[in-house]
Amino acid sequence: MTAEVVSVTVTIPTMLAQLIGGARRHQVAASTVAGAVAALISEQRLLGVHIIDESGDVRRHVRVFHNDVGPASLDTTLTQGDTVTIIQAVSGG
Amino acid sequence: MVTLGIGTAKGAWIVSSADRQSWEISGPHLKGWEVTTLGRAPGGDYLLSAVSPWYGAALHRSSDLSRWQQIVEGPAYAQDRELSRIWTLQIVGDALYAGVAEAGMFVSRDDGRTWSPMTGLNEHETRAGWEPGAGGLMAHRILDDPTNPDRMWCAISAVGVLRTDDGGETWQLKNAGVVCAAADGEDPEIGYCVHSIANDPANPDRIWRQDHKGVYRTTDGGEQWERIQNGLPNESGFGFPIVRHHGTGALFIVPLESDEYRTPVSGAFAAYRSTDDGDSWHVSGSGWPTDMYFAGVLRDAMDCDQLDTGGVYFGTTAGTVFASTDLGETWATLPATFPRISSVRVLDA
Repeated sequence: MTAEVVSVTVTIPTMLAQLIGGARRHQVAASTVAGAVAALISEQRLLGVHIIDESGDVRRHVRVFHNDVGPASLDTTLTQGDTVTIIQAVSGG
Repeated sequence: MVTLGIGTAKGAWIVSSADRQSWEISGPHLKGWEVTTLGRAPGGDYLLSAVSPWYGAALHRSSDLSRWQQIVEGPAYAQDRELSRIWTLQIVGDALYAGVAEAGMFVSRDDGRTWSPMTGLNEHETRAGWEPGAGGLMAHRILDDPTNPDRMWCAISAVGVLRTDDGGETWQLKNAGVVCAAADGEDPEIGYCVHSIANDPANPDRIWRQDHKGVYRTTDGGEQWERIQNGLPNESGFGFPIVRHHGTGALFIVPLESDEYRTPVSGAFAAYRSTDDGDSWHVSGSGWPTDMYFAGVLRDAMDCDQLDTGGVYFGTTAGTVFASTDLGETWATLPATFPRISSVRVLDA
């Protein structure tokens, strides 16, 4: 059964927001956490290199949270109004 | 107007002066990002490369040194190799080259908007044996030959200097005469840890080299190198940047005690200058700290404005920018302390 596409809020760190005019919160339509990240990158192409590495995975020192819990599995199904938060991991320094 | 780009661990600062005595300082630009180098695109836009340990590296451009826009299709490896940092930018004719880590070169032929890998270098036959040095595995300096656009030199840490004579299709290692820093058991041609190179545009076969294992020069394009350390305070000849004022031939380096310590000998900080093509070196003029100053200068953190009056500028790991406007006779510091300085580039002169 295909998961329903819903509207969620993706929040990005200030360091990335400054690259796209300052907006930290973005409304996207997606059915999974991975889909929300992809939708964000589709709207803001230059963020792609900063969130996803050359192998297509989320960067090693980037974490993705779902409803403030994480790190979230990328195939987590979303429900209307959920939040997806991209943050820098402590492991990055 | 002289304009300097200061790349630091936490952003870039733009420093400008009409008289090279009083300076206007703006920044930080790309706050929080390490700015690893700055430069110009062939069409005139300013460029900087920024990196973070979380978010990777990208190029940014600006027409006014105020508003910066990331280049969406910047240098990037396809897969299975990380582009972790952009180390240097070099205009050659209408083309723009970037040296990066993991070691490689990219070229743009549309003013920096899109980029292609230099496969001849990036997939060099010796690549399997390339190992990183303490600073990483990176192509950090590119020199061109103004008399022949097919000739370039690329300096790669812990590998050596490579030269192309066919526009980048093929590259040959050129390190004979240099002490090898990290000999590879299988391939004696690699393992040379070049830190910086500078050439004479009027005679491009003359190249000076600050290496991990000392200071060298070549007069035949790299076929053979000779050691030139007479007068230096450090037996090791260790240091990072080397720059040349082309009008007079004056050379500038910043000696550090050794690769173990990477600080000035006994904390006596000073740049050294040679006015005889490297035959001898001496402390460059006056204006150096009288107290102990245990900081270093990184390989991209020194530049020369090439004006007749000879402006030389460099920034230290302690955040101080030293400037001379008389070819190293006198030095003064800019009225600011920056984060650790990775790069000092003359953007306008």
